[in-house]
Amino acid sequence: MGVGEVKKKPLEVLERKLSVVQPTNLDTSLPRRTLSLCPECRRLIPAEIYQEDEKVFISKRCPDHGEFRDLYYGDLETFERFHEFALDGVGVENPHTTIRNSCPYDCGLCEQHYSHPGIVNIDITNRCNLRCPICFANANALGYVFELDYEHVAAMLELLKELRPVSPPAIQFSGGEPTIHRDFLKMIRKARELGFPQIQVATNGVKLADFQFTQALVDAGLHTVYLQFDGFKEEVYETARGMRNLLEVKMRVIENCRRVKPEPLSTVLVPTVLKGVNDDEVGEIVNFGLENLDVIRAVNFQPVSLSGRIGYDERMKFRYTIGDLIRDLVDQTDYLEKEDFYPVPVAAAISELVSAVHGEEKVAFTCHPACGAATYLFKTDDGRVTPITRFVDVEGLYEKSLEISQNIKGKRFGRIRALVKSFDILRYIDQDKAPKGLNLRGILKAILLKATKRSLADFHWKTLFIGTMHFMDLYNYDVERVKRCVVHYVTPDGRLIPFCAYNTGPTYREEVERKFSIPLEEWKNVAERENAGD
Amino acid sequence: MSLREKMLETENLDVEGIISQVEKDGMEDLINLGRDKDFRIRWNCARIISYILERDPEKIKELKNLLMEMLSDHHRLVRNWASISVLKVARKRPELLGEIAEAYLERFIGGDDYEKFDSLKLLEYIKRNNPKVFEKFKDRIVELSKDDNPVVRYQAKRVLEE
Repeated sequence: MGVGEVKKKPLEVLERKLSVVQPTNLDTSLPRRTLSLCPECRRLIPAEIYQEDEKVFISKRCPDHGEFRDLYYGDLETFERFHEFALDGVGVENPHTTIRNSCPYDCGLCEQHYSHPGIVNIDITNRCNLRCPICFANANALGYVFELDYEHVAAMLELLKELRPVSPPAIQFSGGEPTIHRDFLKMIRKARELGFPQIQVATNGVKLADFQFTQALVDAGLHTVYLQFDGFKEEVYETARGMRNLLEVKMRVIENCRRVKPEPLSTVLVPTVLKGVNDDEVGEIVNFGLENLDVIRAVNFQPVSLSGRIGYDERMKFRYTIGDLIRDLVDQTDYLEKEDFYPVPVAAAISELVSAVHGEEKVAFTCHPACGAATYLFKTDDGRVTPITRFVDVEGLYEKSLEISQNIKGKRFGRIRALVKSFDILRYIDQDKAPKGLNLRGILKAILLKATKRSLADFHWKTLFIGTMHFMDLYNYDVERVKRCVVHYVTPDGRLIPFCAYNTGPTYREEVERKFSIPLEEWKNVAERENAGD
Repeated sequence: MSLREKMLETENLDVEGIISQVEKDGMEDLINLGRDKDFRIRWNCARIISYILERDPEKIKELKNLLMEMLSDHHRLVRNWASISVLKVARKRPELLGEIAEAYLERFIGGDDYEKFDSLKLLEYIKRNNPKVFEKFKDRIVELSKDDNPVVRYQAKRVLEE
């Protein structure tokens, strides 16, 4: 099968305007061909994805820069299982760019993008209050300052609200370190005023070590702290982040998030995982999350994305994939199995069902099956930890959700009848095996009935979400993943650019920052004048 | 390594090295490479030009014709970087743009949303210095202040208000 040819999935989802998913046209077989970028010149080149020694590799050849090979996925079995759940999205109805060249040179979003944004990052500054030796993206290293003013960010937020068919439910302020922007609280208030159901900040936590500031974030309307958390070894923080006692700072942040009023501030631990550096701590990080379930709602592991010119052997020293992470989590905990993890698009089937029942499009996370994985853990008072898969037949739920959606949409069902029909999925929950006190059927029923953030929150509040997203680098780049991306950046010139196109693909991050930046020295002069009250 | 070979190193583009070489040998090679048939060469040329013009806007006199061509390049990335180069000059020395400003606006103001935004950014910079061009595009700016895209609307209003 050649690049561009499509393989239809046998499962049929009725295509009509309301759908938020469609059968994938991704070639899910191995070996398969795709398009990638040359790590040296970033030209679009053909690549092959193939299996070898129970793993999945990618290889490609640039006419000018030669052969490249890399590990694409560390576990063939999981890779193949995940592809059985592939679903494509329906893209956006109001794209902001036309197709002139090809993916990923036309961002965005263009009319060929498969997914609508699920979560959108807003970089508000490239300044930072840490001097990480591994970071090459901050203002000091680059010699220029990229910082947006409040009105501009407000317009960007409004742009997101106008996206169709679905406005992204989650936004994440990022940087640099977004908390040091002088108008940060005002920006959160604006996002709240616009009605974003999930407002997050990606932070190193330094500012949140101050309780008053953390309380101010809550008062402004922040929902979630996405806390950079690389494990429990102080030396890892010293080497990677260039600061002593950073672990202590993180602990103080978690405590502050617990103490704020009226209720704890939802915190997500975000470990960047490198093989040989902190991959031995992934289980301990999850255990820590479970011990602090009143404030920590999720752990979102990010296998490292490698940058710069690195030879194959050197890359393999650090290369870590979702397959490796799942294996390590199984090895390092006594409650997880490989089969507890599912790819992100599984949740899109529920989105499709809720959309069909309510006659209103809901966000669907239709990313590529290799992009992410997740599971939920429940902890009972006796300390027992139970993954969701022990009492939910996820595959049955997935298939039934799609089947019911199709039936509802194909016939003249009233809303009540559609709702009753949708309750069929509840039989995939074995309430007898569920942890005591957890009425998952009731929660799922409420999600189907109300489809509100509150009904989802009831579910999330009692669980620990274990997720992972593996953002690509130029060595393992797969354009098919970019086309399905659900994590985007909104740019100050009004574009939406998939995460791995913005940070790794063409020079989008550099392009956007250059367009809106001023030289560091000039910025310092302006800042000094403003501080002096001129 | 020749200048052309250096321009193929997108990932590790030696901005300082290339600028030093251009300063030493003159602009001619850079201008020729800016017309290369390989988009990667043109793309990285445009990137380098943005750095050159940010440091020394006067250099636009030598690069004017090339920039005009780049603004119409069929490859989006070349055009994007050429646009940044023009905006860098406009921000510091709008009076140096001359005919480029009008040509830029003709090409970009009816383009994709972000190109409309760039046009409005240019107008913000040149408004005081070049009222004639501003007046020529004023109706279009008013139109864009009611655009579907809130970011375009924001920038159009900003141009009209300032």
